[in-house]
This record gives sequence, structure tokens and C-alpha cells, in this order.
Amino acid sequence: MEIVNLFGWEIKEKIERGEISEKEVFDAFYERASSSSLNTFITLAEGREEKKEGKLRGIPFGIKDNILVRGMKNTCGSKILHDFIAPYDATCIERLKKEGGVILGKTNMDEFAMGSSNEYSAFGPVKNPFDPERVPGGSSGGSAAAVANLEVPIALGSDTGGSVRQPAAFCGVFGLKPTYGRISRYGLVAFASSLDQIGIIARTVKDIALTLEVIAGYDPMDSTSSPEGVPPYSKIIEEPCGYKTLGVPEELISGCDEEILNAFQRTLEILQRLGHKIVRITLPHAKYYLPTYEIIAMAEASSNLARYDGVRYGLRVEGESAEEIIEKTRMRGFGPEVKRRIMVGTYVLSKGYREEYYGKAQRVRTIIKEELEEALREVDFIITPTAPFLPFKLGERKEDPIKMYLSDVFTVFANLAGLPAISIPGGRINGLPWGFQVTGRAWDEENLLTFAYHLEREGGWSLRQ
Amino acid sequence: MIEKLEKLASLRLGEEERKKLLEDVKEILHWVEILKEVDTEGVLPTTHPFLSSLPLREDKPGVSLPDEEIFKNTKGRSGRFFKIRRPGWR
Amino acid sequence: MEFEAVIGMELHVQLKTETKLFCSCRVEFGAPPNKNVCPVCLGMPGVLPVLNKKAVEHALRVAIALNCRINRESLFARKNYFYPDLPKGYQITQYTTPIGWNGWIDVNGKKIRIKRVHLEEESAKTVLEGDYAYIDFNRAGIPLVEIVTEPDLTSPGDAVQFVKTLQTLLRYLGVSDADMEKGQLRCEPNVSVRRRGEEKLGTRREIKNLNSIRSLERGIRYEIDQQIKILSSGGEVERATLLWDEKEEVTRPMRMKEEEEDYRYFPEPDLPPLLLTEDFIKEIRKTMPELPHERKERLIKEGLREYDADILTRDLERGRYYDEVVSLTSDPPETAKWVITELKEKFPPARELAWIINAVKEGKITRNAGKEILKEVIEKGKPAEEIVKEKGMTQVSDEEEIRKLVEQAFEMHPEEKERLFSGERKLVGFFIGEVMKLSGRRANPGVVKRMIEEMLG
Repeated sequence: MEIVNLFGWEIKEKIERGEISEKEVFDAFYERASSSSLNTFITLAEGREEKKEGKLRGIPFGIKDNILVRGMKNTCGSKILHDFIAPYDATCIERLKKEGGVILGKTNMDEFAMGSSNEYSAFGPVKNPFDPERVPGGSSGGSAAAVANLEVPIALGSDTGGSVRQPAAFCGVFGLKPTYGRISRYGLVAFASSLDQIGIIARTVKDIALTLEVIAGYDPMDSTSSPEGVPPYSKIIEEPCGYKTLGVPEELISGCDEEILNAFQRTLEILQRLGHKIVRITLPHAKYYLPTYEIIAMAEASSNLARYDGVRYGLRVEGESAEEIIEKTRMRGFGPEVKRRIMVGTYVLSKGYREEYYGKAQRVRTIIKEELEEALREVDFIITPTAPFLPFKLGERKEDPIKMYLSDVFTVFANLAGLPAISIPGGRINGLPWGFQVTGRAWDEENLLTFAYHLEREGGWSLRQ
Repeated sequence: MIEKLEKLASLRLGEEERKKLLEDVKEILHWVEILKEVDTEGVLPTTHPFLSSLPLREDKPGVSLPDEEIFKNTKGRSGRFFKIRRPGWR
Repeated sequence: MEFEAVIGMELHVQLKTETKLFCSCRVEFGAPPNKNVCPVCLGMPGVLPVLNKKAVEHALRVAIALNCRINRESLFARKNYFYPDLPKGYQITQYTTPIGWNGWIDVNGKKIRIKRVHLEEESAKTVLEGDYAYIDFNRAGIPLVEIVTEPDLTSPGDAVQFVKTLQTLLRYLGVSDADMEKGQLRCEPNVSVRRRGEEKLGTRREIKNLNSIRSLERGIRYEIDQQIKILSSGGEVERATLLWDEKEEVTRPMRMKEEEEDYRYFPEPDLPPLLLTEDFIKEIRKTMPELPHERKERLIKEGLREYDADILTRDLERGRYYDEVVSLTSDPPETAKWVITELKEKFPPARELAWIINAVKEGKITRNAGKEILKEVIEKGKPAEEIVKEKGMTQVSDEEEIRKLVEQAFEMHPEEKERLFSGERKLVGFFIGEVMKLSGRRANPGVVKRMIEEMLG
């Protein structure tokens, strides 16, 4: 088997047994990534760090370009940070490196993680490895496409409303968004702080489990990170899974494309054959998930993106006064989608409208959260397709923001309620990948990953070619 | 409306851009209005996904940024200062 | 027409901590520009705030000392606006739930209500020069408490007294040096004027840039005069924020009402609510230092005159020194006299002054000798006892010795002796002086007087 076909954990074991060297591994992936025609990476590492023992020894990682790696460019897919060199390591990067993980490069993304197709990158769109005329999903499109295209075995992304899971589904790989607070956000460039969570993309659940056990856990630099204990996921997932009860929220998935619904139906049948129980659940507020999410995400984003003013770092467009410099820098530095969201976010927080929009959304968020927690008392997991449609053509949704936002219709609830969710590749429809999403209880990545791992092995969803 | 938002967001727009953006903003605001249907009487807002208490840091100095890193990404610099055109009172 | 002023006050106080409010960069005066900065206080991408415990304790002390109600759960908020000195494009502050609210402070017998006490972060320092602004982020992120009063002050003098009282209080609490000239304490009064007897408040205007007690007093006075002028000529006062021009001694408008900012406050998602537990608050209450009014009461109870007690309360450093000395002399009035009248800037070790006071009391040395010794102790840093031995300054109280000296003085001034003995009693003083001279100021004046009177019969 070629090196690039190996899973992350296999690479580590082969290195430890002396069957392959760190250099061979790095070179093989570097070669593949640098010759890729998918526009997956914005920056590739200049060299390998010194080799180190550890749980991730020698495994190359693709890192979304909004997670800071010291000394490397961190563009966030934006012109405003096109030449910004990170002055520090994100906490998750520090932990990866400490366990011998190797940074291969920084992956392409929608500008400031705002988008679902990767077309809003200032560095050009990423292409779907299954059809270069189609989008890879977003905003972690570079990470998902790179993993699917064997340019890197594991990649990190960020997920504010589905930005890890939806591209994972579009590219036919696994993508986990852990519980909010599970992985430190220190060093993740903020989009919407109360929704953002770092996620992991790989071709096997075992790689996700292994990565999660290294990077998860309390970080004194992130006051919202949880002191909750981190179990050894990569071992736990091998244990028996048992039979689970999965809830299907009918209201939520009713608007889904026919072909996806059919494939999803077949998936449910396979699950039943495996002995799991499928039940219908009711989520009465399902139609409010997306608008609630958008208001909160945009409001927080409008504030989080205020620091890009050209004063201390990043792009600066000169002018006659400080105010003019700041206005012009932001005008030239941000792309249309980012501006759109900043404007709406500013509006919903402004005097006279704050309660009507932002305040309302925060209250509806409480209702949504309770509704989901209630549902998860009845069932072990909530199951839905990851996205309502197949990977679409480049340009198809780019000019219509609301059409684009609909990509996240099944994914945002996990962020609103802080729940862990994983997208599992469901196979192909007309040659294009699709995925389904399993959402678990807060802090219960353990059961979620175990379930996904057993499906991968027994359900015929393995990606080993 | 858009001029006020431009000012608040410190984000100037070109003529064409402004027109398109205003339409989009209105459309999005209209789209989210559906939330008004939800009865939120007596419901508390969620400000953080989980209830937790704020951890406090001991008042002990740590490491500041080394000099060479401070201005690495800076466009306007004068000696040890960040430099920018003077603000005019708005 | 009679007018009266209504004044409220907003104060910003830099807290005395080792590190900044949300990062562990040092708080240090006189450091080279941008020395104490890190990704957090420079607002780099990806950073998050982590709250300083000491700053919370300090803010809580202030709130308790101002008799505030304490919010057990207090939330941080973002105040959004753009300015080159604001690294993140928002300031982390407290909005709906300040640490303390609804308090009061007594200023010379008048109760001034405190609306709120909250924690927030400081902005960077900007130096304007020509067409450019030069920004130093050492100051960015220093912890501040903001104290807001109800409009309970009625004159510039009131405002000055209030600020002075607060300054003393903050220094007592050890939470700030509260030096206005150094920017550690900044006052922004809001002033309105109304016709006497009217209930409704007039339109208020805020004054910024008052950098000293003097500016505070003059700025408010100027603004009151301006508003009275406008009102008496039938005009209306417009809401505005004003800047005090220290050179010209006038206020200038910074922005008018229509340009009022919209700060788009919302809860800071990066910081969960600050929960102040019962134990935490108890601990702070237990470790509260003696407050100014408590101290003054205690000193009076100990036997000091109100005037002395007041001095030793306002001047905390002197007051604390007094405490140390008095614990070694057990004579409050005498000790206060020495500490207040005989010491300027430099204080000798407390045990040295106590030794001198005790020696005078015991008659070992004269009061004048004591003063001289004190001077030398301060200048040369030598122990008082050593100086006394070296100079042979021990007081002479031996009656025989003094009798001899008195006789010597009589011999030197036969004419005055004659007059004294024929009944001119006021010459006793003259001879005491002479004996003191002869003794090298070592004679005990009390004994000298008694001896002279004895010899007169």
C-alpha cells in the first residue's frame, strides 16, 4: 500500500516499528499536496519539525488557515490577513506537536469561516475531489478535500454552524464537531465565539478519536474550555457498542432533496438490520434553528471582526486620518460575504433593534437547547442527513446568501446547543459523496465515536480503498 | 440605514457594493423575522452554551511578546510605537 | 433668578495589580513603549481573555467600602466602537450586572449615592504629534474600576471633596494610588443646572479631560456659569460631551447629542458569568483594611484631638507611621504631636522616634534636645541612643548640680538677682534660660524652676 493511503494511526505504528521513516511520510504527503490541482492548501510547511515520540508520531496534519501555527502564515482566507504571520501556537497545535504530530500546511477556507462552499476564499475556491466543477463544501473545504484526496491523513477544521461536518459530507470523509468547550479555542480565529468549536476530519473514526484525545481538555487560556475529563477515545471505541436508539426529526429533514432522503432511508434500514432502533422524534422549533443561528453568529462576528483595522497588523490602506484608514482597510480587506454578515450583525445589535433581533434569538436559543436536550433524554442519538443536497456546482449558490445558508440547515442545531456531532460518509449518489450526521449528548463523544467506529467497520462505510 | 451601519461597522462601501449589500441585508433581516412567531415570554436568554463559572487567574506576571514579534506584522511603525495618521474628532 | 447645579460623577480608577486584567503582561510605570504587550492585549487573532483574580478582589473591596449591594453573578459585556487605541474594536466591561450597585459614601456628613461599581479594561495610550498618533499598548488592558454616582453633588467644592474622600478611601483599600496627574484616577462629571425649587433636572453635559483637582473644580465652575448664562438669556442647554481645555480654561464640545454613540453592548461570549461565592465575599470582607472614617473614630477614642485625628487619617502614610510609633510609646497625644509637627517627608524608623519620645517623657533628655536628636537620626541614620551618648546630651536632673548652676547664674547677673529677690517674679524665666545655657541645654527645666523657687523661699 502506498504511504498516502495509510490512516494516521497506521503511519504512527509503522514508524514505530521502523517500517517507514518520518521523512518518507512527510515527503509522500508533501509531494501529493504540492501537486494537487484542488487548491486545498494556502501555505505548505517549509520543512518538518524535529522528529518526536508520541501518540501522533510522524502523522502529518492539515490545519485550517484560521488555527494559528507559530511562524506560519495565517490568512483566514482573507485579504485582510494575507501576510499575517502567527506569533504563537494555538493550544491544540501545541498539543499536537507535543505528541509528535507534524504540520504539513494550512488549508484553504471560506473567508473567516463564513461560507458553505469555499467560494468565499480570497485565495480562490477549493474544488471537490470527486468532481472539480463542484464545491467541496465549507467553510473547512480545504481540510475536507485534502483528506479525501489523500493529501493528508488528518485535518483540523472549525465548525460554527456545520463547517467541519458539511464539507466532510461533501468530500466523503468523517468529520467531528465535539461538544462546545471540549477543545480549547485559544488560537482559533473567532467567528462566533459562543458557537465556534475546533473539529477533526479524517478517513477513519480511529484517527479522529486519537486526535481528539490529544487536543481535547481544559486550557487555562480559554475560560470556556471544560475541565471535564478526557478519556482515551482511541482505545474506548474498540469496545462493544451495544444497540442504540436513534431519533429521526421529521420536521427538520422534510425539506431535504429527494435523492438524499432516499439514501438516508436506506441508511436507516441498514442501522435497523444491525440491531439499532429507529424512532421518530418531534422538534417543534426546527424551522427556527437556522434564523436563530444566523442572528447570533452574525452579531458575534460583527464584534469579533472589529479588530481587523490595520493599526497593529494585517492589511493597511493609507488615508488622511485614522478613521479613514480603518474604514478603507476594512473596505478593501473584507470580501462581500464577510461584509454582509458584519452589516447584518451590526444591525441586530444596534440601538432599538437589539432586543427585537439579537435578544429574541438568544431566548429562542434557550428553547431550542431545551428541546434538543429533552429529545436526547428519549434517544441516544439524533440522526439526520448532514446536508440537504449534494455538492453543488461552483457558482450555483454564491450570489444568493440565503440559498447558501440553507446548506447548514441540519448542522446548526448542534452548535446552538453545544452538542457533539459527527458526519459519517454514506456512500455515493450519482458518483457524488453524501453523508449523514449523528448527534450525541453533551460531553459524550465517547459513545458517539464508538458508535461511528462500529458503523465504519460493520456497516460497510469504511473508506479503505 | 446602510450609512449608519457603515459608520458603526467602520466599513465604507463602494456605490455598487452598497446597493447590492443593502438588498441582501434587507432580505436576510426579512428572512429571520420568522422568529417573532416564537413565544419567548419568561424565557431567559442563552449567552453561553453551558453554565459554568468563570475561572480566575492568579496575579502573576507571565511572558510578554519578544520585541521582534511585536511589530512583525505591523504596517505603520515608528521606533517602539505603532504609528497611524491622527484621528480627527468625529 | 436663582439657579442650582446638579452634578453626578463618573470615575475611572486604575487598579494596583501586578498584571493586566485579561492577560499576564506586567503593569509597570515607565517601561519602554510596547514592552509589556502580548497577543492578548494587542488583540491578535485567536486570543481569549482570562480574568485576573486580584482585580476582582480589588473591585469587590471598592464595592464593599462604598456600601454597595453585590451581584453574586456578574456578567462581562462587550462595548463596541472603533478607535486606534482600542485593540479588539471592543472594550470588555460590565453592563447589565456590575459587581456592585446601589451604594453610598459619606462626604463631610453628606450622603452621596453610588449607582454602580464595575470592572473594565483600559485602552492604550496615544501620543499625538503633528499629523500622527503614536500608540503604546503597555496601558491597554490595565484593570479599571468605574464608579458612577447619582447626581447628588451641588457645587464644584462638593465635587472636589467627593473626589478627595474617594482618593483617601482607595489608598486605604490599597487598590490604587489614585493619582490624578498620573491618570490613575480620572473624573468625568456631568453637570446640569435648574431653577431653584424646580424638580425636573436640566439637560446634563459631561466634561472630560479634567486631569487635576484644580481642573475639576474650574471645569465644573465654568460649565455651571455657561449653563446659567444660556438659561438666563432664555436659551436651552443642548446635550453634549465637552473637553476641558486646561490652558484656556474653557470647555469645548467633543460631540453633540445627535452624534451619540451606539455601543452595541452584548454579553461577552468568551467569559462565562463571574460567580462570587459567599466564601469569597466573606474572605474579602474579613480582610478589609480599616476605612478612613473608622480610623478617625478610633484615633479620637484613643484621645487625640479631632484636628490631629483628621490629619492622621487623610495622610495615610503618616497615619500608619503614627500607629507604629504609638504602639511603642503608649502616649497617643504626645506621639501625635511629634508625628504631626516634627516630621516632614522622611520618617525615621518608628522605634527611634519612640525612644526619643519616651526619653523626653522620662526626663532623660529635654524636648529641645529630642528635636535635635530626631534631626540627626533622620539625616545620619544613626540610632538616637547612640547620638545621645556621643554628645552627652543626657538631661541633668540632679538637684545639687542644678543648684550650683543657679548660683553661678546669680553671680553672673547680680543686678537681675537683686530685682528677682525684691519680688520681680517674671525674672524666673530669665534665670531658667541662663541655667539652660550654662548646662548646654541639658538641665531639666522643671527642676531648674523648682530650685530657683526654693532658693527664693
